[in-house]
Amino acid sequence: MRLLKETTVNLIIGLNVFLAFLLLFGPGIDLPLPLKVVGRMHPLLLHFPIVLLLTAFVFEAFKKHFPLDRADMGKIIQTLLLAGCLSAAVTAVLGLFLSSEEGYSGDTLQWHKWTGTAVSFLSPLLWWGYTLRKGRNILYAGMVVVLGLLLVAGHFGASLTHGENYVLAPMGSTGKTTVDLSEAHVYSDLVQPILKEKCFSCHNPDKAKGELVMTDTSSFSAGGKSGKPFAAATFGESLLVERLLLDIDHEHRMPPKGKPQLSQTEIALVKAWINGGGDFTVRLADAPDPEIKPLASALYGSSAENTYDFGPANAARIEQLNTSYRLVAPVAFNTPALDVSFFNRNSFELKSLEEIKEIATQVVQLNLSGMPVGDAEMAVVASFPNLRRLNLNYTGVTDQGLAAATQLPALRTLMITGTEVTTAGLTSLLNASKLSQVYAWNTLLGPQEADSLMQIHPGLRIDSGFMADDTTTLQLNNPRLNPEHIFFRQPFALTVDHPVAGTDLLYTTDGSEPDSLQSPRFRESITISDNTVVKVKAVKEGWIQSPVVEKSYQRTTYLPDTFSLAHPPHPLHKGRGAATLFDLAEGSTDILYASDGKWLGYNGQEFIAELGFKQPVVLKEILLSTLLSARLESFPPYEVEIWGHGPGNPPERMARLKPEMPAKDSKVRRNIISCPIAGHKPVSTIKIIARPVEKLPAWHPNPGKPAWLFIDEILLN
Amino acid sequence: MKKQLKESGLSINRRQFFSRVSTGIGSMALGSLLIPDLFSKTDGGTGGFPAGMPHFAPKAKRVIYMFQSGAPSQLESFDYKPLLRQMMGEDLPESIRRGQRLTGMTANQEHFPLVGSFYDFKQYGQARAWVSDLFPHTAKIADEICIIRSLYTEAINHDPAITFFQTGAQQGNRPSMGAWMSYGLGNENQNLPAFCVLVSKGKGNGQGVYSKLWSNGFLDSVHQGVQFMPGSDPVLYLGNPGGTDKQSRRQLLDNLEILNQIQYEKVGDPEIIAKIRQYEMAYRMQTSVPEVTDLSREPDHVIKLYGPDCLVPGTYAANCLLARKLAENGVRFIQLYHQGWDQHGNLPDEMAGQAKDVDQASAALVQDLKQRGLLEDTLVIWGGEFGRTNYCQGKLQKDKYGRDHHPRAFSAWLTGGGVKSGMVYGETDDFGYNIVKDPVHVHDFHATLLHLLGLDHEKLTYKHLGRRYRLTDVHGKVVKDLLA
Repeated sequence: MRLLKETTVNLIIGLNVFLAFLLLFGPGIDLPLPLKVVGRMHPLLLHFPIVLLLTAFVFEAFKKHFPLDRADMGKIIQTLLLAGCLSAAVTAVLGLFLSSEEGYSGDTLQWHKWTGTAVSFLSPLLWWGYTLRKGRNILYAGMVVVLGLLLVAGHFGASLTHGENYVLAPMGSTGKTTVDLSEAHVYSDLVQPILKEKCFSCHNPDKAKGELVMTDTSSFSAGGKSGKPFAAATFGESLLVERLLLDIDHEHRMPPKGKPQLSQTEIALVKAWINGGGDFTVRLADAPDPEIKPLASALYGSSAENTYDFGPANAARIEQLNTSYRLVAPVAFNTPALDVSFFNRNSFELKSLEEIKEIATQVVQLNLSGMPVGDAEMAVVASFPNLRRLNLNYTGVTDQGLAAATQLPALRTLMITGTEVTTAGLTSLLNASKLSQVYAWNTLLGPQEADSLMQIHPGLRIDSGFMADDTTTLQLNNPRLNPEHIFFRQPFALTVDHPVAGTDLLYTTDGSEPDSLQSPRFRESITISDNTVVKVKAVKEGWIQSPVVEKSYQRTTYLPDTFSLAHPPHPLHKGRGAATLFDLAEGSTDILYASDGKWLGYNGQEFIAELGFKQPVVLKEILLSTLLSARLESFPPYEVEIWGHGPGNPPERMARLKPEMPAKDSKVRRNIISCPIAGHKPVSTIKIIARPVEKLPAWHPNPGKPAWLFIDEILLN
Repeated sequence: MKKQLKESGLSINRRQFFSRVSTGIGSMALGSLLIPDLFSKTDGGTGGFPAGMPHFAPKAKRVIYMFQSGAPSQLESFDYKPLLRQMMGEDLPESIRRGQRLTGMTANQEHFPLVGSFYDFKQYGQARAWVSDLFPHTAKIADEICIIRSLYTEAINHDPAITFFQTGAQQGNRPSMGAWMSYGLGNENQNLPAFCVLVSKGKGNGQGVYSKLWSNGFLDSVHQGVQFMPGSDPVLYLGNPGGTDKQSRRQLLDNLEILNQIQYEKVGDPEIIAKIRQYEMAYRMQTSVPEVTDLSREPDHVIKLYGPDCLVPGTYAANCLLARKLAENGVRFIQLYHQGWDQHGNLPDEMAGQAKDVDQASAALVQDLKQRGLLEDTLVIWGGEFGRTNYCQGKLQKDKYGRDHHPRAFSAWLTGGGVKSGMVYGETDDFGYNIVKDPVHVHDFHATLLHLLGLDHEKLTYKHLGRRYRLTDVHGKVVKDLLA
């Protein structure tokens, strides 16, 4: 133990002598490479002296409160002090190694160096004083001095690593500064703040990485070790931009990986500035690169947009002015500016506008869209001195009323869509105002007039919007046939309409294609009493005619009194059971999974339905409405059998047929299978058996699988 | 409102008061650790902002979100990948897939044959943005929109992915985006709900959308989305029951209000006042809703702009037109859903039908808003819940193939209210599989959205079950590069 202590003391003395030697002759010595590596351990080791010395001082100050006897306490403190001295000396030496690397100079470094050295020199004296156990007061004073030096050295060290004012920065304003762009200088107001935030911490007179100092313009343009940041006026040769754009993992990427990066817009701004010659004094207004202005306003906002030179209105009054039909709301939190909107045409009156005159100063946006606003109301609108944005879409404003807007000095944006304002009215307003944006679609102002007005007033944009002309021809959509169902029992009146007003609806009932020369126009309704194919198309001038809509109406005569299924349908396609077959509602052929609840689906099982009639009926034909869709694997039944018996007739097979199978490329459609009934005998019970195809044909993508059978209706005639 | 707050403040009892004071001091210290700028000069910290008002000057006042449910393929719309055509049928290299998870629908496929777009692409606008031939009208507005090709999400199946997009969480029960905006910004027009929902359905393979997607979650029920239906009764249960006229309805509401007022004075629950307001709003909606849903007075050139289907209630085109009318009438958040974009098979055919349904009307809505000056303060969004794989699901044929779900990269476009226009953002690799530049996570997308509306996504919070919730939870960064 004793040996260890003596070695330590000797080591401390040795290191401090070495430190003094380095301080005297250091600048002249070129350090060997391994020592540079060791020097970089400085930021790691520096924490030891701080903690060890601090702990020793705290133990000393509070030693009476520890449950240890005096002697033990003294030994602990001595050991801590000694370890602190050793680590302080090592840290100081390594610090000097590190400072010899390029990039460290300046006042901060000098302060850090000398306070650190002082700690290293003074702390052994403190230890020595402590072992003497004399002169308590001097000892305490010494502790305070070393403690102070320790903190000062630590602070300057942190400033070197993290940049000036690192600790206190979060307390300052973090908000984006807005710049008055009309007065701004490109470099000092726009570019420099970016560099200050993202580059200065490593490129300042104290810590000049790569020998580049960016904080003052002359040393910035002089460049660093690798060359000048940008050459004459060619962006392609700019080293600065090149470094900003390098891959993030690249060794030379700036700012290096892990440091806060420039955003795309910020890079674009720096680029645009260098592109324009990298002039340090040019004003934004005179900047040669046209790209720079939008970038600047994106980054720094237009100050005129967000600052107001008037005070807020009374908050209680604002609350009172809000009604169900009038919204008075601040544009944002903490701004005096107000946005006023009116809703519901029927509850609007002149008074509702006059009431907000008491907050006229604060209103910057006024929305009167769709309100019955005439010339009298416009006279009130003219009394809002700070109004910047006025929405008069679909109001009754005319040229006369619009003239009142000349009294709005702050007005920039005006919407007059759907009003009867003319070119003359707008022209005289533009001559007397500073409007920058007008929306004038659907007014008496055409695109040519808008263009010529924009030429007279540079900086003005007029949007005249989309007006359909003769070249805009679109196809009409489908006419709608009512009722929608194709199955019926009683004769009914068929009506047809079309969503677009003013169309002619041409139709046929004989299966031929409707055409505009021969086919009749649909008037009110036609009566359908038998199986009929109706074809309709819509035509209108200026439009391409609609596709032909075809509906095949199918009559069913009898409704069975009882019906039941021998096997339940597949759970995914169970409809409403057997009732689905007699509800006159057809399933859609236009859906993917036959999942509209109107189809009954069978897969791998026979369809067997039993129908009962209280009064025997004579049937001539039974029709099964099925779905044909190769994609859904839905095929007609492979075989249909119909059995029946009536009073006095034993059960007998009335029909048996094998429906035609679809070809490879058949379209999805409804396939109505007709089963003519032999015998024409009265029956009271019939049984319909339909056997689904057991194996899909070879041309199908899934050959060999059992096919589906979908049925939505059974027609009895 | 202030009066109510004061009253509810008075009803706090002594015990609650002391328990709050003691936690208060501790939480102040903890708070300053967790929220770094709690004591800085610029902000009042969490809860420093009143609800119902933008935090800073907003660029957009309202949102129209044209959600393409089912996930439209980015590879046939906005993310042009010629390499996929060249390598048609070759296997997706492992160096690109890097073991990423797949859905159960294709994970067991032996091969992952790459498949190029059946449709050609051309470049449009000042940004030379690639748009496929399926979207000719969208291509025409290329200079208005900002196409993001680098969105990514965490969910791989429809329901969690849509729920994630709508609520910022995959599991549901959180408030929908529209509900957050209604909470954050309040109503503009007191005669209509702040959050309206319009659903339409294409013929393509579809996925359901459910009312949980427009739920208010734990926020007050006033913020719930209200669905507008096609047909004679657009808002359910709004009309008077049979045999009731306007007069007696008014009388009933007046009497009900008296009763509710008595109850409120007794128990002081602010929900009662909310209820009275809801009844009043529903009463006013009886006149405002028919007015806004009446499309019969639109001029012919507007119909030509959106296409004639805009007059057929329940179609996507009609919903777009209705969305414009709702925007004009001060609705904050208009959520459209168009179903049918889930092309696991038969993609070229189905996608053509879907694109035909939405292309003209989507572009028309942007143009229509613009010519009325509404695009300045309306944010318009078009996109689905994730993307689709670059390899084929099932059997590969040149004109008949399918694509599975792909959450790692997909496209969407935005325009209006403070978004940079005529721009393409983000990039995927040559296979369209991984993002190589400027990734935008769903949380980032939400943060940007709220930013455009003048809301700080870290400050728009609601305390529920003992912690503060945000739309972006604990994530999200505003994508500054998208801001004009």
